[in-house]
Amino acid sequence: MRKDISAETQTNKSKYSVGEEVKISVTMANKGLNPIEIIFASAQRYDFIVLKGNEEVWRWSNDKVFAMVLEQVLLKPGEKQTYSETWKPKDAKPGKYEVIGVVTSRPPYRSACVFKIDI
Amino acid sequence: MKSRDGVSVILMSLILLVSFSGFIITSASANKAKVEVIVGFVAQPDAELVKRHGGEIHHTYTIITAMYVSLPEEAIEPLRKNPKITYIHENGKVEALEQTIPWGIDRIKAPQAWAESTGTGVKIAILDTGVGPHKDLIVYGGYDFVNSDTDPKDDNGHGTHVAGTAAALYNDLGVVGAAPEAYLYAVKVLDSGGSGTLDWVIKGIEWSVNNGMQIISMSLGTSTDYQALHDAVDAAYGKGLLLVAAAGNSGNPAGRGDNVGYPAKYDSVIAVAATDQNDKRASWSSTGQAVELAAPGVDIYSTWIGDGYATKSGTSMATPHVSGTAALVWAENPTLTNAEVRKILQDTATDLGTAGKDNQYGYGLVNAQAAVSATPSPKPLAVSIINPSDGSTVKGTVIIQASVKNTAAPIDSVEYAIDSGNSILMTYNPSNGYWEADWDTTTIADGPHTITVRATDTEGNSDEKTITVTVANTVKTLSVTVVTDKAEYSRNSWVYITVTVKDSATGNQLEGATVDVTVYHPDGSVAGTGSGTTASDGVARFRYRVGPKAPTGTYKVVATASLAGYETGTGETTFKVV
Repeated sequence: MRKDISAETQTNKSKYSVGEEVKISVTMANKGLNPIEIIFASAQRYDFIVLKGNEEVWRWSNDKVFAMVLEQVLLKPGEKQTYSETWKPKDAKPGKYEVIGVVTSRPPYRSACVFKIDI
Repeated sequence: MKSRDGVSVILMSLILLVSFSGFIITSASANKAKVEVIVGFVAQPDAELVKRHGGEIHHTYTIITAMYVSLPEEAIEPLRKNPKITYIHENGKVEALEQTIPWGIDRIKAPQAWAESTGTGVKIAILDTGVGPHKDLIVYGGYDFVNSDTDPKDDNGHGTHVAGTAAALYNDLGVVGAAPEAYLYAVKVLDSGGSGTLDWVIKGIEWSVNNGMQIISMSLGTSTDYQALHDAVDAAYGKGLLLVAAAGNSGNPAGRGDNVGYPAKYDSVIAVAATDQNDKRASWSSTGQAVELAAPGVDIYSTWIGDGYATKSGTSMATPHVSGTAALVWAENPTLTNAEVRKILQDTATDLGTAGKDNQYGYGLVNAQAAVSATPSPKPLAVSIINPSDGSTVKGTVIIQASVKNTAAPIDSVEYAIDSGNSILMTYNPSNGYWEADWDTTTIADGPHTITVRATDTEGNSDEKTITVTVANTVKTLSVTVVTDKAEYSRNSWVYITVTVKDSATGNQLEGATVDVTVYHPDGSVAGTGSGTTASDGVARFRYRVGPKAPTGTYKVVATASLAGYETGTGETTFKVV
């Protein structure tokens, strides 16, 4: 894993009420001094996985298919690339949640953050 | 035009392509304007003659007796009449006319197959981001499931690229596909970013089946196995379509492990791996037992949106090389089944990697020349029964559907017969291309029966196919009786339970029925359960232990029996513990 690439996952809030939409984003940044070529093995650029404890409650890529073409994205020094999706929880119970944001390049870059759903 | 030597790059010289379009005699005020022309001379280029007419000489050609000059416009007419001058041509614009054969098309030896087959009329459904419009492609139809409209134009480029590899036109521009006369249909199931949903893909497969497609080309995938997707591809294959999909780009340099994606991994789909210009598997090309064929997939040049062209890599690019080759074979012999086309592609592939089929290259590099060569001549008639499926169970009214391919003469009649019965004429349904007839299965007894479909052409050729189905109109029910050996029991004793299962209608004892028994306490709670299978006498025996502290009162025993072809039946009885 390159140290000059960082990935950060964020949600738009830290607390949500039951039924509220959660906006999730993962940002990849080139923290180095040289441009970095990021390689993707398909049209998929990212994924988001929401966990409650050990249970996976949502995965963005469920039920999705992707074009099987290689793509390269050049990240200049200091440049960032953000991918976002919205999770619309159905029957999600109140409690602590964790979301893992992945930039699905080869190799992938992952990071996680936590949020709460209150009554 | 078909050239066995391949296409030569035609670079026209300025002289040959220029067209003389005539000059306007301008007014005196524009007299000084000079026009660039090529002046041809009868004998020798005459510089003095040109200069006398106010001309400026730029170049004297050596291989032709001509000069490239700028002449005042009004000097052109007089000079053309001069007996020393043969012609004066305006220096027109020239475009290089050039069709490129991408390295992959050449590598699979498609040009060598074109003398025999160009895939004419074989319908290929490209399930992708859409196709075109593009001047090097013809799209014959399709649908857009992403936007729910009838215009499947490409808003990404990927679908256009894939389509070009399968069937770009043979002309004097752009590229050429593996099967330049196959019919492309665009089924948009991927959005502008190249992602799609299962729902769109399944609808795309459904559309392809309902609209008479022969080949479904899927340069898409997922690493998850979905039952619905599996069922959809199996159903399409069962209906006679050939499915081709990208094996995936999840491979590793060592080529180890099973990382083939779906739908490529399903048995009913041909999984295609990607090779490079050295015929080596691309390091990222997925490997596994499901890999069936390999095709060029590194740096593939093909059509792109905006009437453009692009170079891309992926098993996406390898896939249409196989789809196009399948079209070449199928056009050569339309009477082949999908399985027969598939076998030809496997048997004629150029073996790569370890000898025989392997996890990196499957049967090897698809070889269009060998595949078309190996394709047997079509039979004058070929019948296949599409519905019902061989071995299925039917009831009520069944629509018998048959596909009849004729290559020699028009079809004269298509008939079906049940068992050795009378032949009944079938009618042609133009909306799906099938010959159909309604069969009322209630007119014969339940049980196995054969359906034979026979087609005859006007020259007397015929072909027939027979399948067997089981008619099951009568709902069969089970009669289940439960008895205990005694009416009353004390604590610490065994209750022997006998369950007998019979056919309600015939009274015959049934062997092999699954029996589930539940014993209930007097308060209704479950005291015990057991499972067994009836023997040849239709009986399953159980025993239940009444414990030392068993409650007294009336216990209930319920037995449920199930057997294929029957509705489940239940029976019950009671006993007392005193």
